[in-house]
Amino acid sequence: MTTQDSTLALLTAGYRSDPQAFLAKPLLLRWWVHGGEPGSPSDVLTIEGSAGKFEAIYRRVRYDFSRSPPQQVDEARRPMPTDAVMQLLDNMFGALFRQRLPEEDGHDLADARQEQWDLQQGARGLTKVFHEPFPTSLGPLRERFVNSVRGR
Amino acid sequence: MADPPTPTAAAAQAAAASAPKAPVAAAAPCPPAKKRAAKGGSTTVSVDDVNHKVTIETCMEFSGSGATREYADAAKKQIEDTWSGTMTRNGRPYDVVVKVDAKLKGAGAACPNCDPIRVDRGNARMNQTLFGAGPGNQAADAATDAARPRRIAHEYGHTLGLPDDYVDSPNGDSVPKDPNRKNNIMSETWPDAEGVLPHPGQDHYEAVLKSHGW
Repeated sequence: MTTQDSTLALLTAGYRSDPQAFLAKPLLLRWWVHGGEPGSPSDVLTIEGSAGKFEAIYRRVRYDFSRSPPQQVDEARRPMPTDAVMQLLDNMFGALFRQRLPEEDGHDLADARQEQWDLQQGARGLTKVFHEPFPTSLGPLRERFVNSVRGR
Repeated sequence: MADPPTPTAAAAQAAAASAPKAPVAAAAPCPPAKKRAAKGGSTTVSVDDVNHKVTIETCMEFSGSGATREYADAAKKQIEDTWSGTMTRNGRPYDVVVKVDAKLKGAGAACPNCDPIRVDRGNARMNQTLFGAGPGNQAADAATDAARPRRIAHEYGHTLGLPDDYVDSPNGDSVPKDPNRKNNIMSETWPDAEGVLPHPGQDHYEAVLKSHGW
């Protein structure tokens, strides 16, 4: 059993046995698409909070080389209801962290794009990194992240 | 058993040994060896320690809808202008000369001795298999991108086996591994506020020599 496996087992057990206690501790969920050649865009969707108060933060970085500095950052925040956070947790504890996909294997393609998923509760954390082309099987999870932030 | 030499024969041998020898033509200097990376790719690197010169030679074969003669020529010029320069080796300055043979793929099979570069119109992305030991993808506008005039040269750094010198941060920023270093070709492809273009450094040349067997 790997460290990631044992962390997954601990976090899942804690969440399943007492969701309210689990959600009372500092929690962070992140979906981050980045990489590419220098000056490539980055999109980070972070959901964080504790004690039943959560916030979704979408941070988008683009480069406009007609401006100095070229990095242009847009950020949007909105509160996240606890039930929406729990739906995301159900999905992340499910297929995302329990399966191993071929796109996790690194390759020698420099400047490839990456998709990173993080789940952190206190000092315990889980991470998955996929290299392009990104797995199509994660389409529903991506859609759920986007919709939950949009309040749908 | 052979008979011992007679006094007359011994004198003749001694005379021959002491006679002035015919001049021998000076041997042609042996050209420096061209070495390749163990991981593959077309690039060869030679080091001439007599003339203090490093020569890096790469063959690139461009294909795809954006692979025109103009693109290939511009790519060659951008790479050679960026990567040719000077380095220090054994405490002495060396000239670094980069030569790119930029071919266009014809209708036949791909050239087995060149690094394949795909240039497709509509593709905005650039990436490159390390050491050129696999395909690279380039954007058709990279050769004429005035805002980022060293995109192709950055990818060539990967062809030489170099990694990126920046890391992405979860807040969306790209952070140079060495925050004090400016105009690093493996971190940026655009000029700084003073118009200085990114360029390779001594550490890049040293890494290329090392990975190519020097």
